[in-house]
Order: sequence, then C-alpha cells, then structure tokens
Amino acid sequence: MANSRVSLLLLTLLALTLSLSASSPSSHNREELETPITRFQQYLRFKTAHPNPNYTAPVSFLTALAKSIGLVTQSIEFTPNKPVLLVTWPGSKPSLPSILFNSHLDSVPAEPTKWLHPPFSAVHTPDGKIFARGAQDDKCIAIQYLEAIRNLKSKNFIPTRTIHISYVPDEEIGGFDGAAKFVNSKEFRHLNVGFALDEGQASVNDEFRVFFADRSPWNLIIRAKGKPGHGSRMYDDGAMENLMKSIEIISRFRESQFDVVKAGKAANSEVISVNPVYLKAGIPSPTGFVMNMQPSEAEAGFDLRLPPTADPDLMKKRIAEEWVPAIRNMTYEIIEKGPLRDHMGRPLMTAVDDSNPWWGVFRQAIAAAGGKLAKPEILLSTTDARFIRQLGIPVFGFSPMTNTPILLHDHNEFLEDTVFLKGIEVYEHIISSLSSFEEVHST
Amino acid sequence: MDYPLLTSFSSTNRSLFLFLFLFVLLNTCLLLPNPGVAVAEDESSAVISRFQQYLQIDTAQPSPRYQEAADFLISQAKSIGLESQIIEFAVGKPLVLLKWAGSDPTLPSILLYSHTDVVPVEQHKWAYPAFSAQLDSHGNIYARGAQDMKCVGMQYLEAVRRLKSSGFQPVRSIYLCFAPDEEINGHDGAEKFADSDIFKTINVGIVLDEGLASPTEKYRAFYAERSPWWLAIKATGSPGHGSRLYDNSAMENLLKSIESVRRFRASQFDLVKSGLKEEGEVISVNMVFLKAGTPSPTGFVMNVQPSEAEAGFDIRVPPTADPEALERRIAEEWAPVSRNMTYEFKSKATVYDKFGRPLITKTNSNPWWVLLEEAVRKANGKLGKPEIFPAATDSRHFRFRGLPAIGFSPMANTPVLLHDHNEFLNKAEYLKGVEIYESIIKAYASYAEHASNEGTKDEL
Repeated sequence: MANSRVSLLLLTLLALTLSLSASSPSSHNREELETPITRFQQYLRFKTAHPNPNYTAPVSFLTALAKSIGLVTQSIEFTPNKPVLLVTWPGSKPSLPSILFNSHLDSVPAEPTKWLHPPFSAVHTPDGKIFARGAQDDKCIAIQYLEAIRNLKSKNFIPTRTIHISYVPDEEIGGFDGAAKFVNSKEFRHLNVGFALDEGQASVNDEFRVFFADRSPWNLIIRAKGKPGHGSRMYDDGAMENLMKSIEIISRFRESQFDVVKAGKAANSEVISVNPVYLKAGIPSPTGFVMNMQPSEAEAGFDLRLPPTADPDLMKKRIAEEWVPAIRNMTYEIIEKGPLRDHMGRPLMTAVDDSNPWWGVFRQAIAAAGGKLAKPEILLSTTDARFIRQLGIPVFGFSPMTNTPILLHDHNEFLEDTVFLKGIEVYEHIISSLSSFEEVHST
Repeated sequence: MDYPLLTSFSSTNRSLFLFLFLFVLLNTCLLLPNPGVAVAEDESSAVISRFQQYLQIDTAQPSPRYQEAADFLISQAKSIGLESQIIEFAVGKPLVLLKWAGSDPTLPSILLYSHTDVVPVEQHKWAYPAFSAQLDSHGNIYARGAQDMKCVGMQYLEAVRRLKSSGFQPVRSIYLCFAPDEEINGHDGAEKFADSDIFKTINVGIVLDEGLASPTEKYRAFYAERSPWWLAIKATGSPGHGSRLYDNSAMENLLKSIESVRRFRASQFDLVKSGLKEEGEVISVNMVFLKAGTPSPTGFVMNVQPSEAEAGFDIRVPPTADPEALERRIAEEWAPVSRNMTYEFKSKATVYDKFGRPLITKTNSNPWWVLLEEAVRKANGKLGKPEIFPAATDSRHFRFRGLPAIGFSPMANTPVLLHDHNEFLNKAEYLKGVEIYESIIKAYASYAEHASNEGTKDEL
C-alpha cells in the first residue's frame, strides 16, 4: 500500500513535469499514467461551482469514462443545458428492481483567496491530500462508483440486478431542475429502482456514517409593516418593533431547540433548527441609510430545517399564530424546498431495521469490506435523496470517508488518497452485495 | 412646470373668493348693512392667499426652489416696507434677512426666525397635490410646510404688516430671517448665519423659532431640544451553513444587542406613557435600519448565516440626560466587545453650549419667557407648560452661542403632522396665530430694559 503510494506520487510528479515541459506528447503520456486518483483529479478540475457550473465538460468526461469500462450511457436534459447522465450496467435478471447510485455534478462556490491551493486545481500534496472543491461533496463518490464497477468487471463479476448510476445537476441550489425532475420522469420509472444510495458525509473517526433521512429545508421570510415616523418619535406598532417582537420569539424557539442539543438529548439533525440569514429595513441614502426616519417596512429571512419526525402542520400553526401573527401587521412566506412526506403520506425516512431488507444487506457489505458502521443518523442538511424517498424508495446517504474532517462547503476541502481508494473497495462490496440480493421486490 | 399650473389654480381660487365676497356683500346689503364684515373677510382672504402662495413654492429637499422663495419674500417685504437683503453663505442657498428698525438701536434686537425648506413628500399618499395648498370645505389648507414651518414665516410677516399699518413703532429692532437647509442639518443655513459677522452686528437678544402643533387648546413652547445621536452597531461572527445551530454568530450577537436596546426604549417610553415625563424629557431610541445577509440575484442567499450584521438607531438625548452614562451604556451593553461588536456614531450632536452648560433656554427668571406668556394671554391664547422639543431645530445653533431661543408655532387644536402625509393647517388657526404674533412682537419690541440673560455679553 505504502509502496504503491510512493510510486503513484512519482508518476504524478512525472506527469506534471512532462505536461509543464512538453506540449503535444504530454497528453499521450498522461493517458498511459491514468489511475483512479488521476481520474478523480481530472473530474475535480471541472469548474462546476455555482452560479455558473460547467455541466457539458464533466458529462463528456464521465460518458467517456463509463464507455471505456463498457457501460451504457444516456444523457437526458429535463432543463436546457442541465443534463442528467445515466450510466447502466445491465443485470442478469432485468425484471428485478434495480439499484441506483446517485451523485450530483455541481459544487458550491469557493473563495480562492482563502484556500492553500486553487480550489479547482486538485493539487495532490506529498502527504496524500487532494485539495479541491467537490473532493468531499460529492465528486469522490461519482468516480468511486465507476472505479468499483471497473474492478468488479475485471474480476468478471456479473450483477443479478441492474445497476444504474445517475449524475444530476443543481443539487446545491435545491435540485429542482435536477433530481426533482429526473425522479418524476418516465425515464426514471423505467429504471424500476428498488433501492438507492446517495451522498452522505465525512466521518471524523473510523466509523462509516449512514443517513436514513434529511431535514427538510424551509425558507421563511417574515415582513412587518407599520406607520413610518420621524426618528425622534417613540410610538407603538412601528414596523421595526413588530419585526423585532417576532424575531425575539423565534430566537427563543431557536434557543429551546439548541438547548436540547447542548444537553446531549438529541443530535443537531434531530431538532428543528431556525437561523436568521438576513435582515432588511431602512431607507437607503447615498451614505448608507437615512438616520432620522423609521421605516414602514422591515423584513427578515430564516433558514428553517425540519427533521422528518417533526409535524409540518404544527410548525405552520406556530408560525402563523406565534411567530408572525397577522394582528401585529405581519405577513410571511414559507418556501418549502422539497417534500416533507412520501407519496403515501409517511415521513420521509428510510427504515433502518429488519422491516427494510436492504438495511441488512448494506450493513453486511460494510462489514465484509472490513468497515464499521456508526448509528444511522438524520442528515443535518438536505440532499437529493429526499426526492427519491418521496417515491417510497428506500435511500441511504453514504459517502465512504472515515477519519476525515467535515469540509463540505468549507475552505480547503480535501480528501486523502488512501481514503478515496478505500472507498472504491467499499463500493465493490456494496455493489456486489446489493446487486446479488434477490429476495425483495419493488417496495 | 408645476408652478404656472399652481398659480392658475390659485387664481381660480381667488375668483371663487371674489364670487363668495360678492355673494356675502349682496346678502349683507339686502339683510343687514354691515360693510365692515365684508372688509374683514376680504382682508383675511388676502392673508390666506399670501400663505398659499408661499406654500405653493416647492422648497422640498433635496432640490428646494430657494430662489423662487427668496423672490417672493423680498416682494412681500417691499409691499410691507421692510429693509431687505439676501445673503448666500453657500452658493444657491439664499438666506433672506428683513429689518424693521427700532427707535433704540443700542438695545439687542429680536430675531424672528424660520426656515424656507420643507421635507419631501410621497405624493401618492396625499389627498391633494402637496404643493397646491388646497383649501378644503373645513377650511383646512393642505400643503407640505403648512405646519413645518411656512406658516410661522408668513405669520411673522402678516403680524408685522398689521403692526406697521396700525402705526406701531418698535423700540428694539426686529429682524425676520428666512433660512435654508434646516431639514438637512442647517450647516449652510442657521449654523453659518449664527457664526457670521452680520449676525454679530445685528446684536440679537432673543430668538423665536419653530415649535410644534398642539392637539389641545393650549399652545406649546419649547425651551430646549434633544440632541440627535445617530448610532450604528455592528456584529461580526463566523459564517456558517443555514442548517447549523451554533453560538456567537453575527446575527445572534446583533439580536442580543437589539433586545437590550429595546428594553431600554421600553423603559423610557413607559415614563412617557405613564405621564411621569414628557416626550422630550426622555432618551428616545428608535431603530432606523437593519442590514445583514448575502445578497443574491433574487434577494438573499437563504442557506448561509452571514458573518456581519448591522443595525442603526436614531437616539435623542435631552439636555437633562447624562451623556457620559449613555455612552457607557452603548459601549458596555449595546455593542460590547465581549460579543464581537463595534459601534460608530454617524452623527453626534453636543448636549452642551460653547460655555459647557446644558443647551437650555431658561424659563423662570427669563423676562422673554414671561413676556411671551403674557402676550399670548393678552391675545386670548393659552400656553402649556414649557417643553423640550423632541427633535432638532435650528434653535440649537443660537442656544449653542448662549442666546435664549424659544420654539413656538401658534397652532392649537391641530394634529401634529410635520413630516407626515396630508400635512395641513386650518385657516382660522392660521389667522389666530397672526394675532398671537402681533401681541408677542408688540410686547418684545416694546421691552426697553436690558434683560439679564439676553445676548452673550451678559452671559459672559
């Protein structure tokens, strides 16, 4: 393992030197030197950050890569210039529900000045770290899925169930033009998906983390109106006062939820979080704001996250009656960023007990790969998994990254090469186990 | 463009008056011959018409038509027979100074002060065009400046006009000053005027300036005002994903401060609500802006907790408050370093005059105050308790130099509508105010003794 890493490093350095010194033969050389790590680096170098993600180039790259392994590819545009790439490895019993491995193409923006290395350079440091935006979220799994299949194919493994890999756009901005449209398409129905895996999160210890639910994000915008007035006058029911009363009530609720976490009674992801994200009030002036006018309008925005265990109707009632009561001249807007219940009206959770046969298969696959699995969790934030869960399909969130700091959306996002390579091995076990599992049928 | 239209409008108004006048004349001739009533009617309609003409000049900030206002005032001064001059302390910002010479030029003079500019309007929220000076069926005259403070400026002129025509001769000289820019802090108006050589030579003993309307039958008079402190507080903290709960974010730090400010505000407001203190006697704190968030093309990024958050407050400090204690409160409770907060004054007016005394015009042992009270009473008016003006006026520039200044606008039974939509003043109240000023000017101009606290010389 150590030896191979050293030679790998040397090869990478050589490739770099060559590409810097010569022009035409370099590409030829690089092809010869391609490894899972260099393919990961190539994929990381595509600038897929919002607000202007380049989707065309990475889709071509992945298509070529999938074809080189002998897989079937199909690119579908549900929204112009926002392609979904579907890669398929047909199983021997295509009538059985298939297994879907999902990942998203896009990444969040990066502030290059706060990075040690340019965020789209995918620099591989001597200590084995690969720095790039997307290294953890979630370009790692995109390549690992393919590399695992490559290895299984070379071992002549034949899947019983069909394996699909989907690469979707726009996850980081809500997934509405990506996963949401994809899962509701006839193309998706034809896939007959029985079980899916989507992204998870890094684990700071040696246990793999698995997520059985997301929290559902709501954007809450509250607006207050009141009489305008001179800055010197004190009067009741001004817009500012009305807004602040609401903000204070919301802050109290936030504290009560946070206290549950602080007391160790619940994980961060198991409570309702509500965080203020903007405040807007005042009459703009050339130098800032007019300082002697009390404005007639004031508003604030909140990021609200509901775990699947929360009752959305109760939450709406609380917002209407306590947080933003109309009697205080307030209005509000809730923008629900995705579903809260599945098509049967059940909370969007995938069972992690014996009622879900996939759970046992998945757990055994991790064990077979020599990995330990942590207690299943609710994800703090939100992924595309919610759209698949809405159809009643069981989904786990899983990214095989142990002993790795959680750096998604942070500066200097990186993944260690050994962790990346270990992940490929883990997926080999998962894919072979899941695709060979014949007992269950469509849920 | 507006102006000719408005003029034609007011001339239809005038023909309406003429018609009414003829109608009244006809009736009175037929029923009870009393030509005196008709003459009084005619005179008061001329007074109202001149007030309307002044109101119709759009002197709203930020582009006041100062030259038009100055031309109008000079023509008025000429028709009354006052000496006049225009002084420009800043280009395009004329100050009109009128003089009615007194018989004893050694006595300090009386300054009847008013400003010519008005605050802007949101026309769509008005019932009538804000510079039409529309007279409705109740006798209310609607215009921006009807209360703040073109009424006072024209009432001075009308009172002087009547005193002059009655043959009154002042002992002290009377100056009428129409100054620009009060609504935008008065730097190029009252401040420069009070600092000028001209101001020294006119040797002012007492200043009358604007007050406020009174919803009751009692007029209000002001002996001081609150100093504006414009405060911005800012919190910084680590940014984070919108889904994360963590302590010490910029938003949390700012909101804690705002809660603290709000509790202080409530304590001050409670004093006013319980009647223990007048509005002008407490420290008012009102939030004027909030700013936080990462802008996005459609508004704000909704899943990032920002690393900075700001709020702005308009604070008014009465001269009776302890400014050091307030500033300590700001530093320790409203913007504490311990919560990663900073603060900045966008503007901070002093609460002391140039001699280090609180910016207050005495009410007891001040002959000018006593004379005012008596003059109002003589004109059948009632005066309330002396008050602190809740906002800022140009008076502070005169009080700062140790001069007595009294804020007084004779508007009883009138809702307080300065800076508000549909600002108006009733015609009868306006005319009554002219009589009140007649009485005051007469008393002031005839007061021949050297007042103990008049002028800076005596103060020093």
